[in-house]
Amino acid sequence: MYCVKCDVVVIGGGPAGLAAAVAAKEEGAEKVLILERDNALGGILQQCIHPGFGLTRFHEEMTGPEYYGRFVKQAEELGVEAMLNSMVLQVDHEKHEILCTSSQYGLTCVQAGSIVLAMGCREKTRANIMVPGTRPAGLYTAGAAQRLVNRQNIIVGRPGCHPGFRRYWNDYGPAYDPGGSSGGDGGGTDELLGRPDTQPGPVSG
Amino acid sequence: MLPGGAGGPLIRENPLYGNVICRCETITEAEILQAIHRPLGARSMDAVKRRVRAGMGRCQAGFCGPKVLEILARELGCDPTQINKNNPGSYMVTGKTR
Repeated sequence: MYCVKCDVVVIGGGPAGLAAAVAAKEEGAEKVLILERDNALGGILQQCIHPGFGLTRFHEEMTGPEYYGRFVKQAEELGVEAMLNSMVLQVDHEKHEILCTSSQYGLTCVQAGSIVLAMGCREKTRANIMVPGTRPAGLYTAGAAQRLVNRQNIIVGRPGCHPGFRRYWNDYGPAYDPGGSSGGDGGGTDELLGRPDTQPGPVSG
Repeated sequence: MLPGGAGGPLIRENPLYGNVICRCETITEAEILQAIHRPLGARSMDAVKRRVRAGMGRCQAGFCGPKVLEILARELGCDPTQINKNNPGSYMVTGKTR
């Protein structure tokens, strides 16, 4: 098994992880390693293309990618290392050992003086917010829809139910002709789910 | 994903066993490909979920949904707009932004 030793390991390469790694370097840690599951650093900010970040820390308003870009640059300059496409499977608190996996290195054991957990959170699901029933197709959490639109360039449908996402879509989404009458606010679920003129897809499993 | 270090030889044989797609249930890309390409293979999002549990965990496909969609479209050689959640007509997405 591939083995790495370092002073500080940060699990998660989002804004919190990047800030922690930069701080560790500034405080004198020699080898600082970020373990990131995604193919790039930046975490959720990669899909937050709207402005509103950086007011507290940098005293200027910027978009998500601009904000994490500063951290990535800072981290690179300080010599922080990162393992991308790597997911942590186990953390052994007593041995200070982390087991992670990636296609590139296979199973990897990381021994660390200190371990920082900066993995962010999960969005609430339908069940979490006590909406009864099952989830129909075309209904997404805000983050999943945002990822599809902003990172994978996929249109998930017309924003229907969530007023916040509708506003977001209007401000930052692609130019989209809502088709005349349905352009107003408060579109119903059929607007979200409806999709005329489509070809039948592959047979469902 | 096998517990502990037991998955090591598998990943050496097929690196896709090292690429975890569903973080909640620790389901790898190789397992999802198997679900798609085996006899009576999966053709929809829920079909993948029922075969290998990707999307069945704590985040309910919030994180792996977009990835599974991409994998399904790639492996079936079709557009993401053709992928169903379950029944015919239950499309996941409607088009490309560019």
